[in-house]
Amino acid sequence: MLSNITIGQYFPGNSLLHRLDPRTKIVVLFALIVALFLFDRPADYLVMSLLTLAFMLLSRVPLRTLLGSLKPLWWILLFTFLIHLCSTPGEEFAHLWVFSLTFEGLAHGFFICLRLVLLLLLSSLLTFTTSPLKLTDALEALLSPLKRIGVPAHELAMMMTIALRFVPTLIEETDKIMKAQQARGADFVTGSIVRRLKNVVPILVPLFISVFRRADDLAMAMEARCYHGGEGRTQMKQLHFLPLDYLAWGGTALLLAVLAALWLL
Amino acid sequence: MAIELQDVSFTYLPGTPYERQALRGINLKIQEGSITALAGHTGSGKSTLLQHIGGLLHPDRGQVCIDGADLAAHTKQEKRAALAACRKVGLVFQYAEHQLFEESIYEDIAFGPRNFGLAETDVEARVREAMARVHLDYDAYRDRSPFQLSGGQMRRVALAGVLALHPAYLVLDEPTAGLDPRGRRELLQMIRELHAAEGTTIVFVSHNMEDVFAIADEVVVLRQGMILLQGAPADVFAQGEQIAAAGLRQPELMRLLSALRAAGVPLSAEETAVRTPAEAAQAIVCALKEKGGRTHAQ
Ligand SMILES: Nc1ncnc2c1ncn2[C@@H]1O[C@H](COP(=O)(O)OP(=O)(O)O)[C@@H](O)[C@H]1O
Ligand SMILES: [Mg+2]
Repeated sequence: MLSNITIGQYFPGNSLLHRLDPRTKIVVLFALIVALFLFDRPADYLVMSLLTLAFMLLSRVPLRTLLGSLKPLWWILLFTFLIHLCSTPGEEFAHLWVFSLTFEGLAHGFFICLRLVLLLLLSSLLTFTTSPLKLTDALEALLSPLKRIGVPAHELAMMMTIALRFVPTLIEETDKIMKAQQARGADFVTGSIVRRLKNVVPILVPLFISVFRRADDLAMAMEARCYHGGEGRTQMKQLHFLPLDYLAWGGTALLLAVLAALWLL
Repeated sequence: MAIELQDVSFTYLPGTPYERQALRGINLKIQEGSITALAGHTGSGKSTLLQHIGGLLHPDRGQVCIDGADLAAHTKQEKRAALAACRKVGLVFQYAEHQLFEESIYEDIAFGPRNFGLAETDVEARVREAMARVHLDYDAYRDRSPFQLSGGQMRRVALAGVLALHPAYLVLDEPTAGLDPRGRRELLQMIRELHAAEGTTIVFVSHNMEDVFAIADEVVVLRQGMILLQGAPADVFAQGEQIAAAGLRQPELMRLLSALRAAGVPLSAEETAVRTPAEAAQAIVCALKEKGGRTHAQ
């Protein structure tokens, strides 16, 4: 019933993108997003689109899965496009009620949408090729310089890790509880809305109890193993930069430099 | 009338990297009135099989029939028959006490019967009876919160919640997991009493071979989603190598008796009828007496 929810976004694999250090991926993604917003001439869009396409092929994640991540954006895209189409002044090609549709609006709308799509695809590529645990490790590593000004980098990362760790567990638990109540004749699919809402109680109460029990157990287990925050804590899986990472850093820097140079010319 | 599985296969999360085939071509017939135990290593597909019997999962291939009615329905008429067939099966999940949610024990047990559309007077009778079956005093416990009970008592309330549905087939997933020895013994006793009193067909999953040996009259051993062994407990457990291959152990009781026999204690062939420690003790005493008598006579 809930089994069709994929666990997180991560798509296990061993492609070049999967092997890239997660810190590199986050930084490169950040740089590319900045580039997307800074450079907005058609040629720049072409470069970014080709780059995204190359990454999509490199990731070996099935195209359908990747494009599936665009689904929630569909309405926003349509809406954005329409607003730009109707509200950009310029050479009018049609008139609709009080709106004038312009060629400039058409182009503008298209590029804005392209920008959103590229943004989402690039971010999805990060989450598709990086396991949540690696992602939080990388976040902690990248945030740790900010510890000096009081950002609790370790605690933030630990909270994220724990939350992510328990998502599949809770989905599984919900599935189990739903099945158990169904076995006692509960019906979650038919009946009036009031009845269906009432039927949520037999799921939520056990679920909450289970969440608190798990949180309690986890806190106890962590304490029993002398967990006391991030100070002096080492990691089992150390992050290491590989030659591949330096290549990615270099490539990104070069790309940004070229785009910037073209912009200034 | 029976539970019949024909060539049942099932795969979790097909078409994803997490795809996992849990059942492979299971053929199984569970006779009415029997006590059948499903044994197997963790991940061998026992729980998945039980959920198929309860109609909560439907096979990718093959079919599951309860008293001749296919649980996977397509047409409207079939759906009604399937629902009726499903309702004959009472499914008790592993750690069933984790599904309690009501404020009082009475309300929790009444949840199922009310869902089945019973009138309130019938519901009360059902709750009363179910609580008696699990040895909980009706007047003392009906208004207490289920969350104030001990683990074993909570498990019994959850069991009562299913028994109140009057299932013809009671299907339990690891009913004794996590209970102390006493809770375990009591629960097995309740299952046996129910079987004796109502003739309810029992299917249960267990990791504990003593439990299986004590109450089952048919054992099905699963391995990697397939049936490895099937038959009477004494016959199945006699196949030591296969049992070990399935990641299981022979029951301690059986190993004790074999060891004694190897050491020269003249245990009679009736030992196959020995199921519980008490019966075993008696058989051993008899055998030793006999042996003692013989040595005296010489
Ligand atoms: N909800 C689920 N989603 C994905 N895989 C599952 C799910 N439930 C069980 N499995 C897998 O199916 C196999 C059989 O599981 P299960 O029937 O629970 O075994 P058992 O009860 O014998 O321990 C296991 O490999 C398990 O990992
Ligand atoms: Mg199981």
